[in-house]
Amino acid sequence: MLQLIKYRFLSMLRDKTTMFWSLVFPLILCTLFYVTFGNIDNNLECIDTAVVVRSESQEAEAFQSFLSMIEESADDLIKTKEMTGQKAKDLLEDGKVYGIYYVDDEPELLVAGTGVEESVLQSLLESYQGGQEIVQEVSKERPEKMPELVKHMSSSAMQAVYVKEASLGGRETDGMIQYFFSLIAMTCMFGCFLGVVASMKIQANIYAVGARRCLGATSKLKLIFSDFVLICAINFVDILVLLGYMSGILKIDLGGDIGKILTISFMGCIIGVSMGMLVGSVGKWREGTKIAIMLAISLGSSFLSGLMLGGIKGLIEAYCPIINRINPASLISDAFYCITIYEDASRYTRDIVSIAVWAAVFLIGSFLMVRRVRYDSI
Amino acid sequence: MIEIKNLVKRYGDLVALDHLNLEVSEGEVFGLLGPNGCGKTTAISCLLALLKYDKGEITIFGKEMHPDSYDMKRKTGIVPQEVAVFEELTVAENIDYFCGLYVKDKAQRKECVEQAIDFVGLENHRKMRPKQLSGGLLRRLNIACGIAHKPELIILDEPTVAVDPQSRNHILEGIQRLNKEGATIIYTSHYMEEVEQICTRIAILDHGRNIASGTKEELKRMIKTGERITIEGVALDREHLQQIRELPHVFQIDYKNQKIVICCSSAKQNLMRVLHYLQENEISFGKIFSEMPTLNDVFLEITGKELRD
Repeated sequence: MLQLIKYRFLSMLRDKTTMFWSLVFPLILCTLFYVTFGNIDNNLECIDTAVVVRSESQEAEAFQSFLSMIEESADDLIKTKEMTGQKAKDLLEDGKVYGIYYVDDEPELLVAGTGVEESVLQSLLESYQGGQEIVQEVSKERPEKMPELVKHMSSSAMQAVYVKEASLGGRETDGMIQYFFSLIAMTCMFGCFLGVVASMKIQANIYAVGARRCLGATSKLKLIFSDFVLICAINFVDILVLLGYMSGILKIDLGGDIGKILTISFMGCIIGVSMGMLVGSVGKWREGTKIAIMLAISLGSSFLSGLMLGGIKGLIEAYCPIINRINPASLISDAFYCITIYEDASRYTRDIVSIAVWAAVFLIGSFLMVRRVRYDSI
Repeated sequence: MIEIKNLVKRYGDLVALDHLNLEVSEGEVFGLLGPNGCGKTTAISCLLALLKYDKGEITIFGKEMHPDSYDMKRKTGIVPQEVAVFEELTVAENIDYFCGLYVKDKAQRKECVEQAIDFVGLENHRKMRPKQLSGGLLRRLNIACGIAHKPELIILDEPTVAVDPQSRNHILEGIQRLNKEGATIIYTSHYMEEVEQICTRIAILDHGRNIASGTKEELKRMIKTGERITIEGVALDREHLQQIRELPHVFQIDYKNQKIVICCSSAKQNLMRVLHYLQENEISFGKIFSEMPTLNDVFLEITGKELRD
């Protein structure tokens, strides 16, 4: 059997098309995800801002106090420096400050760009202007409450919400990480294409080489099992490369126990490959039909696991949870969630066992369909 | 060694095999000759338990073949009509892989592979991939993959399709050598010259039926035509044609465009009689030649149509 595995391995390795879809494409997709989502939650650096005092009226002083409070209380959000108008303009032109606040009866802001930093400065000004009267009143009547007021206004400017996210028992993590989990699940599911092709190459009515293998003196069970073991190994290596790329090069923190991550990945490979072998074993379908079905299933299951729309998995859980229990991609991504966020061992175990059971069902079904088969036509 | 009785195979309304009967004895090169679509490949596929069939009995080595008859499969080698190799593996790797489906012992398999490469003449191409081979060399690789494990029964399904003459001769010689080494061969083709050249016994198929079988001499004796004389560049009138038709042992003539074909039953001196007649009547002619009947004549007389070559 080792000899069979050796040549099938060489055969698959040299198939550039298959290797591209199973190895290179997920890396490309991962990179695109990273570029699109990777830094979206990163904290901003401290925003250097110039302050030009034009007036010393009470309103101007209130604004200046507001700015001082922001600087002190809002954790390195902005850093202000008072200077002359000309110097401030020079620094703005040189890009050394992001904006100039003009402290006056009616405060103004001058910016040179339209980036995130400039937007924050604008938001701060708008939130002051929206609550200007309150600020002036508090600063006059209850100056000790100014820090609290300022903190509230600065967090509004940063678009904070009035609810606080809290984990039900696990860790907090980057909200975008679900896309990467779904990507790993999708890569596991791509093993199904390897499985479909391998299965078809044991069928006499699809490939001539399948006819020759059928007529060999080696049992179909050995042929199927050797192909299955090999494809799972190849797919698993693809996953390892992807995980290594994610954590080693893109520095994405997947969280969780590395052993469990690898276990889930391996189980994902098994279910993807076995599902492909099952579809590939249906004798009556032609090659094109099988590939189309496999494409639909893999992309469909990946979509339902949240690869393309973030909230879809939660929606399904609310309205039709059975789909999440049988969708292989959902089982895989859910298992990832269990170890990285929920810290729910029983749910993790349930997912792994479900994956193993489905894989066994698919593999047995595949073998039963091809053993002792005679075709109506070749 | 092989017995097929009343085999019937239908594809919907089309009857591909119509109560086919065949017998192949051990040690012979058995030819299955017939035009395209007559059921040769279908018969082979049923024989090897790849295809379901509607009626009939098939035995190989005295037993019925099943998809899991691995002991019988070990003794059988198949060279399918379509080239069946892995595109991504080299010549040597392909042969080793397929030999490995039959021979588990590594040392023995290595020897078999080397002998197979040597046998088909692909020593200089062992590291090449199928895409790099010509059609003829690819067919040789196809054969090597089917015979590397030294089977007792070898089935070759149209192995010389689209093959250059050099490779074709190489293949035919190789088949004869395999037979001399003890293998029983079933050779299917629609090229009568090949079948006549290498087969010890032949069955002619048409529309899924065995219409005639025997050695090539037996088959030729089945038909009237014993000799065919062709004369080109000869001008003959109606009277001449009538007189030629009345010559002894002549049963059919065909005259067109100053070319006459005279079919004679088996007898001596047919050509001499015709030449004598032409001389007596001072009839000049261009070319004259005589041919013995071919399997095409057998097919033509039995079915009324040519083997569609």
